[in-house]
Amino acid sequence: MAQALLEVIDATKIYGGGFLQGGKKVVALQNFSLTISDKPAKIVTIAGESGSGKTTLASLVLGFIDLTSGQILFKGTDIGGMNRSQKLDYRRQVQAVFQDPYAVYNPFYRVKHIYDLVIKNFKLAHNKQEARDLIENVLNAVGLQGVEVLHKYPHQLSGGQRQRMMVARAYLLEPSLIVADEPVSMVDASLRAMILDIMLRLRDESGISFLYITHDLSTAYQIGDEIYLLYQGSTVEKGDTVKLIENPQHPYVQQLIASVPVLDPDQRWDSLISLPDDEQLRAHAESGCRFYPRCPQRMDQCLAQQPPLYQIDGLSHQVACYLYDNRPHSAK
Amino acid sequence: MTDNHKSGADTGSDGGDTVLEVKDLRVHYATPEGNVIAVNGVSFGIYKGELLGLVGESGCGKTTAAMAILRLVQPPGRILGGQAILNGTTDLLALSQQELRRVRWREIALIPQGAMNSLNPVMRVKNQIADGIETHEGKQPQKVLKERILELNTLVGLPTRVYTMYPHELSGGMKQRVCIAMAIALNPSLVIADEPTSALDVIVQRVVAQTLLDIRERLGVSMLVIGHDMGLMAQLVDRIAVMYAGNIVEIAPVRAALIEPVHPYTQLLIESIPSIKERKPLKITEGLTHDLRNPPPGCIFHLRCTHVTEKCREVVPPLQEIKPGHQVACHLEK
Repeated sequence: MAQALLEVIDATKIYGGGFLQGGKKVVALQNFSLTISDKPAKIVTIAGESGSGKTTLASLVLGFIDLTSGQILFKGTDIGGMNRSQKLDYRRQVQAVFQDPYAVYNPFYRVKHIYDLVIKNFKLAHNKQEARDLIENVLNAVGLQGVEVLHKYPHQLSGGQRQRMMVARAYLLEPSLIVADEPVSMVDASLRAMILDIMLRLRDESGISFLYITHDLSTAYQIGDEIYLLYQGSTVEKGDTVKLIENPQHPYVQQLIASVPVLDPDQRWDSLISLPDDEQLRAHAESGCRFYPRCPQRMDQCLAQQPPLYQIDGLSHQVACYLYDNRPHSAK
Repeated sequence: MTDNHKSGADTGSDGGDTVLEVKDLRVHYATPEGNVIAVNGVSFGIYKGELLGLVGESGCGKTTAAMAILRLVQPPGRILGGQAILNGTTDLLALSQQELRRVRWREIALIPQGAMNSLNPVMRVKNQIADGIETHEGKQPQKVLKERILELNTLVGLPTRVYTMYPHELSGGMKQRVCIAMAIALNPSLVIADEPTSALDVIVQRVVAQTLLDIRERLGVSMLVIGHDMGLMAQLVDRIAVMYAGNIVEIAPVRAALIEPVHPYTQLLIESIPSIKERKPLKITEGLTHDLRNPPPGCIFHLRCTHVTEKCREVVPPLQEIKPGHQVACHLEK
């Protein structure tokens, strides 16, 4: 197998536990592994509800925080052990697009500032004309014109425009990976499709892979290639996006997909579901399957130990649930 | 719990008692560069026991319209005109502040946006709910109060323990249900719920939505549900009113609005929702809402409309009934 673009190996991140927090620990990510292959470029979705660890993963990959244990390899090099020039290269090759297109701009500068900074820091252009051409080029790629937007202040642009400009900023550096953390959740529905389409085009035309982090399974279903579903810091199911969403195996994922409201008033939610309260959840979270307190198909076995990932359909589709105990399980 | 409560809804304008009748509501926000026309002559009615969804994208004026009904618009916002007639008698927009105090919470309750973050962190759930009841009904015997609060908790599906708990001990969905319990504490005829499930995970969203449906079933309360998620609306409400740039462009029973939407904006809104049932090419739409200080002449949507004609640029289409209960503001529909 060719070298992977990004490899997360057995990553665990624990917050707190220090003196000030009174020793209370929060396990945000537990023994998580992920691989994004180098070619062809792919959109890999990380989906889960709030608190599932998806943003922690984004912060880890972007190097904002350090792992408690495990490794993250970028093109075979551990990002924790990179030297200065390797780090600079990593910062160029891995770009980010964040959730809130309002908060990332400095309101006192014209929006052109975000591009000027990038060009200066990475010395992308030798003169002003070259810089202008570069910016115009990336703006066109996201369907914008320099004359329309560059001289404006952030508050004069719509959320959709601002988010497209952030994608353009990431594209300016010709990265191999863009970490997109909820890039469309704050953009109006009618303008979301445009940003998703830009992601598809960057993947196909420029060979940029995406780590697409979202809570919205519908958008993942529309554009994603591979998907990892997280529940309280661990992968519960992973596989090909279309196959997994059309035919989910894990009880949690089944419940999750059945709860996404469909646009058809004749297909209403058919059953009542109940949620146990927090206390109960916490009591069982220590050992065993994290989903146990809410699982409609729980067994005694589930309390003993967290289930490993079992293979469902070849190598690609894997589920962490003892219901699939008879299948071979992947090493890690 | 599925959809056995449609009867009152599909009858349209001729059927049922009207709980609230909003007529020609106008709200402006003053800015140094001119007035932002946030709500531009909005009219709609809510029938008894009905859930009406008010949908639109951010900035379309849906929250402002709801706040105006409760007279909670803050300066620089100003209600310029209109009527909001409650139970056929009281015009909320003409009441004095003192009269308003009697109507608020008792007749119309609000579940504000991000309600779960509005709970007082240092008060137990029981005290917060009791506070609301006693403010409006005066001191009550402890025993009666406790019974009432426990009954409310059961109604919204909260365990008894929650009674003595603090907000930080509850999950988001539970806090949201405490807010729903507070809203129905005085048995109002209308509840306005502003984005009642946003910021909740889908499974929790489903539980909260089902709580709202359950309460309607048991208490017969009417609700105005404000939101932007058409999928959720399909699951929750009986009728949908679609707002664009301060105007209602279409009102229809939920089935008609979602299956055969007439207004091009409603169509666009529905088409742009990614499906989880079927993978299909993305439908890309260009276009920005105009500056609300400076609305175009003619149809409010003509700058983005793909079916625009000469008439649309000049004449404002009135909101007219095309089928019983289905109103559209568009020249294309005759």
